[in-house]
Order: sequence, then structure tokens, then C-alpha cells
Amino acid sequence: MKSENEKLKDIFTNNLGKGVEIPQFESMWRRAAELKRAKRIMIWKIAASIVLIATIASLLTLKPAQVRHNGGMQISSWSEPTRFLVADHENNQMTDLVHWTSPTGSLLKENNLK
Amino acid sequence: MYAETEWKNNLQELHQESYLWSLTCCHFDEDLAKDVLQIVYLKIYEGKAIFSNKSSLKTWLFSVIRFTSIDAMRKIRKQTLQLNNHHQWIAETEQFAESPDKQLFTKILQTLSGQQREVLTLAFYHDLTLEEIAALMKLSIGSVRTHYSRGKDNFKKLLSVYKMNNDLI
Repeated sequence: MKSENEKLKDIFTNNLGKGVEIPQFESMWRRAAELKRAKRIMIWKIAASIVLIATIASLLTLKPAQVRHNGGMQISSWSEPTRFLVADHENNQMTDLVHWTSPTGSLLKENNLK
Repeated sequence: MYAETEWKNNLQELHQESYLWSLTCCHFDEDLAKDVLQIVYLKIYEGKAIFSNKSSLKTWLFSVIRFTSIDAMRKIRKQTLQLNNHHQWIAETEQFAESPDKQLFTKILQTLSGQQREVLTLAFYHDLTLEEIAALMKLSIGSVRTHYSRGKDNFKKLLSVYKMNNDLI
């Protein structure tokens, strides 16, 4: 005579998964490997995209900022005839630009040479 | 630590049981059960689910399957909530139309609460002890005993209601 638990065990063993198609283990394991590879590639692609976007963004933002800092003009590339007024740093003979009243003085307002 | 081939062999041995356990956790939705098991294998392959020898491999694997299925079903429930009433009505109608064809045993199991169903399946199909079930489900042994005895009572009642006891055995 079977105990109640043994009867229940029989019911479960005979009926659970009845008519259910069990997927193949090999194909699922292979798919896991493929998914892992695909995921890794995707992560690398995302990382590369972020680096690329950051590089482009920094190039685009730094260049105008540098130009703005120099009053819209690079002092090194200034080729006006009055350029000689600010040239001589080394011998402390630089012209005092604060009192400079040349018509082109406005170009030097923000160039930090005071 | 398990080597990959060792993992593969052990998982292969448990594959059928794992799938049926996944099916139980996913309320007998076969597509969802396959997806859940696939996610579990991916977690193991990627090293995201790590076996630490605290329990048997089977208990650990079943625990991963259970929690993965909970996550999957939570996502599905969220998506379902986003549907409008009309779509929900269609889904319910389809479910109702489908139910008469389902197996009696599956129908009885689905009538039980989730935890009763899981405890009974683990005990009577997967041969786990109540202690192992408690560890797997992260429940106290007392709760598991309650689910076990109430589940058994409900299951027997439902069997007698359907008067199909002999058919099932």
C-alpha cells in the first residue's frame, strides 16, 4: 500500500512535463555563447562611440574657448604693424598696454598681457 | 570553481529538470520558460551567476532560475499594465479560450498559489528536502512547512473536485 506522499510523487512524476517539448541543451548553450560574444561586441562598440563623441566634443568646445580667451585673436599670429609694441618680454621693455591709445588697442583688451 | 566543460556536463544532466522547474516558475508559459532558462545559461556563461558551494548545484541552479523567472514575469506584468483595457480584454479572452485544452494536472497546479505550487513541485518532482526548498526559495523552514501542508491539502481537494485522481495516477 502506497503512502499519501508516494501517491503524490507518482502523480507529479507521471504528469509534470507531459506533452511538453524539452528544448535541446546544446543549442541553448551555443546560443548563450553567441549572446555573450554579441554582448561583448556591443559593449566595445558603445565604449568606442562614447570615446569618439567625447573627443569630437572636446575638440569642438576647446578650440573656440581658446580663441575667446585671447580676445578673438591669437597674439602669436598677430601681424599688424603695431606688433612690435608687445614683442619684447625678455628684456622687460614691453610697452605698457594699459595706457596704449592706439586705434588697434582694442584687440589686446583680453589678452592677459597687462 | 567549475571548469567550463564540467559546468556544461553538470548543466546538461540537470537540463530537463531545470526546464520543467522554469516552466513551473513561469506559470506553464513555455516560451517564457525557454527564455528564462536561456537567460540563466547566459548568466552562468558570463560568470554573473556564481556557484559558491554553499548548497548543492541543483539547489543553486533552481534558485537562479526562480529569481530570473520572477524578474522576467515582473517585466511582462509592467508591459501588460501599459496596455489599454481593450487589449487586456483580448488577452483575457484568449487565455480563457485556451484553458479547456490544458492538461488537468497543469490546471490543478495553476489553481494553487505560486509558493504552494513551487514547494510541491520541488518536493514531489525534484526530490528536494524541505530544508533545501527553504534555502532555494529564501524562506524560513516554518513558512515552507506551511506552504507544503496547505498546498498538499489544496491539491488533494482539487483532485477530488475534478474526480480525476485515478486518471492522473
